[in-house]
Amino acid sequence: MTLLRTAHDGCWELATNSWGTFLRPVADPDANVTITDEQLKGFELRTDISKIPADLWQRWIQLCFAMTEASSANLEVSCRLLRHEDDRSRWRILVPRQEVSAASVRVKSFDRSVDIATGEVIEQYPPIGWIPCGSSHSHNTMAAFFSGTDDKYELGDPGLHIVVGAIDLTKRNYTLAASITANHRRFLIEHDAVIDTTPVSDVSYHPDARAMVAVAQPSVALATTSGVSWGKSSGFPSWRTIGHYQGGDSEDPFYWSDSWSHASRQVSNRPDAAPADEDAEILLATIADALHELQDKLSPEVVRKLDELNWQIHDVISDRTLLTCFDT
Amino acid sequence: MGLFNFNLGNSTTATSGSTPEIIQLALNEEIVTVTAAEAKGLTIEQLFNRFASALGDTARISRYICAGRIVAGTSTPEVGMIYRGAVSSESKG
Repeated sequence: MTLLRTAHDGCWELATNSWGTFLRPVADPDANVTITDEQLKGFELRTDISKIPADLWQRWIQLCFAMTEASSANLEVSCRLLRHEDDRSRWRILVPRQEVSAASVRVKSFDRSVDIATGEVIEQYPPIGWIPCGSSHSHNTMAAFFSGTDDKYELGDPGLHIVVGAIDLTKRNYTLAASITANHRRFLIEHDAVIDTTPVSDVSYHPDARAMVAVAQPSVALATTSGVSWGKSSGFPSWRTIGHYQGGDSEDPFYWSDSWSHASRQVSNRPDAAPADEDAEILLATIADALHELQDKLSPEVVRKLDELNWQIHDVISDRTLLTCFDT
Repeated sequence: MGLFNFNLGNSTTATSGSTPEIIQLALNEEIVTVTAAEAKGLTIEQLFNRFASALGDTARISRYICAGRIVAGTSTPEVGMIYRGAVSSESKG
């Protein structure tokens, strides 16, 4: 038997039957080990990892606290972790433009990000010389754990992923869940091995980093006569009914909120908006309101699931509206 | 015939001269090496989907970078180069 050893597809042999010849996989006759289930699920963290520096981590934590403090809805926030390609002891935290709610974060593109320490604007991600190595996001006052949505996006994004949770604004403390994702799996680790959590005074996030975070607010279609909700010069209708993104791109089709109050209810009287869309917008707003009111009474998982459904409806409406714009 | 003529004399990772006959595919800090022979006829995007899918979600890669420059996923990879795939969006819950 001729054994064919491939780099990525295992061992094969040529097999012949009464009809012809073909390849079939075979066990490696030189196999010399049995891997246990424990080994397969295990992860040994390197001991020479340069931790995220205390002052950098403190800036991120400050932002997590600020977002929790900014609204009674206790908002989440997310960031990207990067290390220098020539020196893995050099860390960087970027805050991408994002829409946040009490139970979720949405980032459409990392290309519009701000360095949390320097305020440098990144317009092409990843910046030259820096390699993405993970992410962190806040669960505000809820427990630190990895949700189904986190798994969906982090298992395929290899690196260090950290959740900041149980933020207590009074006691000024928080908890962490840290993990390494690799090979579409998550390995929980001790956060002390990768982060220097020593409190550092007199450091905070750059204000431009905070300005990248906007509250996700579905527009509401309760009829008034004056509250037309349009996007800016792009011509796309806006789904945001409050505030403007500060320092943002005037061509951005979305309105970004820099205020943390609830959206005032406005009419959505776009000439191209189908009545069904308006009905859907009302439902969206109702769901959002209900979520806000019930978040303290429901389990975090239920809140997250409802929030996720809310996003999905939002996407369906948004996609349909954009298509309508292109059609016209 | 001749479908199953394999050259078993050399390792597919062997090098010739000073130029390594490999291409490296990176997703974040993880890297996988592919031989020139395996990469033959494939685009960069196809290479990632074929050989780097164990590293992460290659379907979410929106940009390929080589030597600091953005390259099209439909272009042909060059032997000896490192190609980085970048994911550019996410949701958290």
